[in-house]
Amino acid sequence: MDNESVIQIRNLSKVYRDFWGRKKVQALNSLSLDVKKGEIFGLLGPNGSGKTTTMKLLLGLLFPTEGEITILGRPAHDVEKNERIGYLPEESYLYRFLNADETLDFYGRLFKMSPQVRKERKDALIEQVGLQHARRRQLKEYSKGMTRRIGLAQALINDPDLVMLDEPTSGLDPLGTRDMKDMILKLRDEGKTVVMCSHLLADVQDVCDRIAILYGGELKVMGSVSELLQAQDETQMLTTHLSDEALAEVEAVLAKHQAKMMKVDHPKTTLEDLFLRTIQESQARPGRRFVPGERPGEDGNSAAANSTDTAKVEGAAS
Amino acid sequence: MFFDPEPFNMGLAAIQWLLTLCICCGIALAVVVVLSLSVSGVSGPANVWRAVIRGVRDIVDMSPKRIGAVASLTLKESLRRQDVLVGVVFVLLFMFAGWFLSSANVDTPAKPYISFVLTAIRWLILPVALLLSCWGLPADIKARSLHTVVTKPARRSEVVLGRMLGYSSLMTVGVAIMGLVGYVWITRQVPESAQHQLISRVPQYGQLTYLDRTGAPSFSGINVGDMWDYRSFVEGNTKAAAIFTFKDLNTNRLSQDDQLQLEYRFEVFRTHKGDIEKAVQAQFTLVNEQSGLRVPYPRVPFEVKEFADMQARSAEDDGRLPIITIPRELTYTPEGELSSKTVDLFEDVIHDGTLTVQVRCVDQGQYLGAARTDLFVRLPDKTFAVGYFKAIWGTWMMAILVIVLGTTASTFVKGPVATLLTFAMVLTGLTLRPFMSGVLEQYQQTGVVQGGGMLESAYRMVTQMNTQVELPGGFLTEAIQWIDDRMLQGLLLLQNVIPDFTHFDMTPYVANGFDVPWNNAMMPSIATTLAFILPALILGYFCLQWRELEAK
Amino acid sequence: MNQMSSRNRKLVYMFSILALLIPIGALGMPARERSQPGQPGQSGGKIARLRHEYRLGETTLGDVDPASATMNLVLLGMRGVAGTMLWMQADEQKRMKNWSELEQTTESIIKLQPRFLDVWQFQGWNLAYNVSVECDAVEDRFFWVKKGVKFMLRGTNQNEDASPLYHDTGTMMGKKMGRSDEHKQFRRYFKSDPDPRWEGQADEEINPNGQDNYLVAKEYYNIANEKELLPWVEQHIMERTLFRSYPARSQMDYATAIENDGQFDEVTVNAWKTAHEDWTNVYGREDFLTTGGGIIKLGATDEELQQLADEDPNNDVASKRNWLDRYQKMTNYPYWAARSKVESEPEMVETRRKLYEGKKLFFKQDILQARELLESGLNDLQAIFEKHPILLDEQEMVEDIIKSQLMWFYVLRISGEPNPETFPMMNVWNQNPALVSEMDQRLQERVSDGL
Repeated sequence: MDNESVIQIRNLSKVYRDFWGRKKVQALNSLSLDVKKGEIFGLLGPNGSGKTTTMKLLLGLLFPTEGEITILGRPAHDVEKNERIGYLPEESYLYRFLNADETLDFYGRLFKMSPQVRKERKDALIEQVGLQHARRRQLKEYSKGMTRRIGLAQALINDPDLVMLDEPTSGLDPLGTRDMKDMILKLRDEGKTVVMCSHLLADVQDVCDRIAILYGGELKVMGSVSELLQAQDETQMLTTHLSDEALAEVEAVLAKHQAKMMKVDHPKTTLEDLFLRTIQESQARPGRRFVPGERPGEDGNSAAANSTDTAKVEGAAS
Repeated sequence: MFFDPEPFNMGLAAIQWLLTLCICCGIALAVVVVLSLSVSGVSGPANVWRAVIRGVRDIVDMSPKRIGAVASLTLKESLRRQDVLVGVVFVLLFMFAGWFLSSANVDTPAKPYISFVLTAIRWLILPVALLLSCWGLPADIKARSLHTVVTKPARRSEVVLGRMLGYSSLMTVGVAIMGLVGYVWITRQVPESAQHQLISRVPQYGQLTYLDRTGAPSFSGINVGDMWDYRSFVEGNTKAAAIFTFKDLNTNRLSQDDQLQLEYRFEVFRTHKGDIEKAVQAQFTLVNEQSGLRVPYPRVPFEVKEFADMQARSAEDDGRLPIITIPRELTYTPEGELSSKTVDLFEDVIHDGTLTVQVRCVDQGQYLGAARTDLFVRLPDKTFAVGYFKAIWGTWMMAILVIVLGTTASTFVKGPVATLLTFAMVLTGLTLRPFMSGVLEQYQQTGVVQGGGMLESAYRMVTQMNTQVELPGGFLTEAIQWIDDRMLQGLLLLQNVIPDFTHFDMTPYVANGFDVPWNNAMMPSIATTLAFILPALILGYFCLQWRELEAK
Repeated sequence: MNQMSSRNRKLVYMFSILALLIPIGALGMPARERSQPGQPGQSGGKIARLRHEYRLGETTLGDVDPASATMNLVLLGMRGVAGTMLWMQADEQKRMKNWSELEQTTESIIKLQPRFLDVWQFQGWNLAYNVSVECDAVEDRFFWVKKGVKFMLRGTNQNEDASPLYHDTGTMMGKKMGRSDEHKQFRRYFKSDPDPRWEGQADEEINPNGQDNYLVAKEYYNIANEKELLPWVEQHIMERTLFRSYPARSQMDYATAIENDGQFDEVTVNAWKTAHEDWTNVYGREDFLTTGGGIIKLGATDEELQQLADEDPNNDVASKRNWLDRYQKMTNYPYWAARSKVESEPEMVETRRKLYEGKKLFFKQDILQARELLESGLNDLQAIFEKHPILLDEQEMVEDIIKSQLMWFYVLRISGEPNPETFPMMNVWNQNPALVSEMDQRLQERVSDGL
């Protein structure tokens, strides 16, 4: 069950052309990835890296230049697949003249859903996203946070199996971000698959099971968040507060293997750090898949670079 | 004022429609296949085939529920964006209309009011329909709110159709309100003395043939030198006659009134002054072709009241109306007999629903001019509302067609361009189409157009060469003619694609006190609108479907 | 500039605005009251005064129609295009004999171009002349002539000083009603309208006093002449000397017309007296600037001519006389002076009566009575014409005489008498053989037709 692919992308390329058919931008280059059922998958990348393009290709808003997409077992351009997908667009592209009730009602009517179910879901979702107080107000009066909430609500109106979220936490205050993240995690708990792309790396780090980092239309990194953030060649120790003398002693003690070890772990880097390194590496050596743990160096000699960076990490950890 | 009595041939129109649709689809398909070959190589045609199959499915499988959702969304959008403010213009127009109509002709007082209302409604509805339909989808695409819709299971055909439906329902309400207000305004504003002009006369036209001065059948009468060869003239005091044959008269209905009304609009031409204080006289002969019965009526020739059609239409002054009322019991003296006889109009004269009326001019040397619509059986009148609301119906049909075209245009171009495109179509359909049909008819019948096609006439204009002079021979002339020929052939194909907006204007009927006929006016308007819905939907669907909404 | 503080910049702007306001105010301030046309305005800016001086303001031209002004405003400068399209439409409607719509289109055109005299002249003429003849019934024809006249009258309301419009209005009322085939009916209808609305009276809109059409025409010709004197008014209808003769000529037409109607009494005598007065004392006293001989008066006596020559350094008496002759020939001044003089004499009116009744009796086949009257009338004429040979200069007179002579001969033939060797007005007969034979033929036809 866990290994069932909800999304399969094979050699996906997308070239934007101008009016005369001349190549303008290569937005995606031979991307292949799978999203498994029940996981939260994060698409990361700087602006213009192709993550939104990927999402739109998945949704059938754009047509691939090459490659294949299978989503919920169907091709991307098949409208039927949308019955089981929920999509929260980047800036909640909703109709600003509708109120929350009407918005959910309208989108609900686009699905095979009885009016009774529609009403129930509508009420439940409004409550879930906390908009009961504003359900009769037109969306143009909504704050950005409220717009994101109603956006999420409309994405979930059909109780989808696959939820695609474009920048779900952008524009939200810390509390709102927390709520959103909780909701995303709840979706996973309900057995839904979530694909999200975001700039806010901390959020991704918090909720995503697996991520892919894109740069320049190419896949640079992909893997589970915990794996990716583990630095395998280092060891991190967490101790109680140590005085200078103690510190010197620890070294001695360590040398003798007699100290009480409170915790020994592989130190984790932050996602932000990984992201930046990926980007730097991609800029320095375009066209190469990034290998986590391998550090970018001025001349590409990764072995030499390792030791200098270790110190940094240790410094940051202490 | 001069109506075409020829009924609209629905069957023929349907066949032509189908043919045009097939040709257009064929051309479009060919173009797309060629394009796909150039873009994606050998796999292109297969892709096209799949897309077409999907398209057919998307169009056939449309869900009324989703269309309804989009339609009601469209409706809400229009209402909440205060597009309905146009209504204010409407009200203002009516408030100040009095200014413009007060000095109008006192002899046909009702006409300007009717014309004004119907024209005002038409020209207010047109821009609203145009702007609504042309800006809605592009705005939706630009704001990307359409993304959220098409990532739901909504098909793009449903979006297109839903939009059309939404705008149409809004326009329906708009037209209905304007129509009602206009009706109330007319009935209240038209002066008391002209209220009787608010009627819907129901004419039944016949076929017209002629007898020449020797009494032999003839295709036409005499041309008295009018540039306008609408009427053909018969010479007075000879055997010449204009023969009107009215078929399929509903005698059961007509005989209930025990009379038959004929209304005429003849013209008189004098070759000598004669007695200028006395009008030229004419006489009818009612003929039963089957039994050979000939009944002159009225027994004494009547004075032809020329141009009395509407001017003299005053309530008290019935004697001046150009109407001949034939009673059921007809008494006459047969030729060569002394005693008079009485016959029954519906039993003896009208045979199998057919009445033949021969019209003769009595005065020697004077001429009577008649066209096919110049004599008609005036069936029982209908109320003004009947004709008026039929004309409103025409406006409604026009609004819907504009919406259909505008929505379709907005699937492939941006708002301003779509507006221009649709407006150009309306203008072409309204003003240039009659001209174009004339040119093409000439081309089809004779193979040439007087003055040449586009290049030739341009050449003639620049060189100030009149249309009778032969073009100088040589390569240039041949090239010009070859290109013109191709263009005219292209135009022949194209003329079916440009809707004939003249069908929607029923104002002349109503303004002149006629009912709007079903066959000649209502049916063409409905057919025109219906004909464009399916092709527009197909085109709109494929344009939207094949359009990358996110392309930057 | 960049160093200037924000406040300083604002001050500079303010002063610039004020500096610009002064010339704008001086130029463009609207006039406060309406002063006499043609006089430089007492108030308002330069433009207002100039507009006044050259009579370019809307209100100085005539009534302002709010509907028309609104329409022009709404069209936003597309008036020319709209006007052209309407003209084309009007032409098409005329071709299709769609008169009521033609009239409405005309209404729209004048709403667009209320100050464009040609529109009024052309469309008014169209209604009165071209449309009216298309109708069969005389009442309908009269109706359309009236429409043309009313149209012209509205034109004069909106263009108060447009001399040509008044002149054309006069022509429609005078010549169109008085000289067309239907003149008998038209002249009758002019005084007693066939439209039941007027209950047998004249149409108030065109003939409020129920006068003869020629007299109403004369009134309009008089207004046209009056307006023509205004320094800012021009007329290009015809030579000025001819243009200004129309009121007097219309009076003569009136006198002739009532004679043709069979009225030979004090009224007729007075009509001719007025005509003579108008011709010699009004028209003949007017100053006309000739192309080469300075100012002349058409009715100038020798002394007056001398006086005119004295006042004019460029022309002596001989030159003045030369130019006077030319202009008198052009307007036929001496003839009409003499004619109106003679016609106003009771003997001449009596002679006319004899000939008129003689002709009438001739057609009633009262041969004896007719012969007597014709003979006596022709003899009287002979006596008069010997005194005033100039009267034979006009074709109309000649035709009249020959017609009487032909009838007289006809009566003689019927009575079995031979043609006399000599007869009254024999010289006229002998001088016009072609006319005689043509008129003879016409009379024969009429006699065989109707008698």
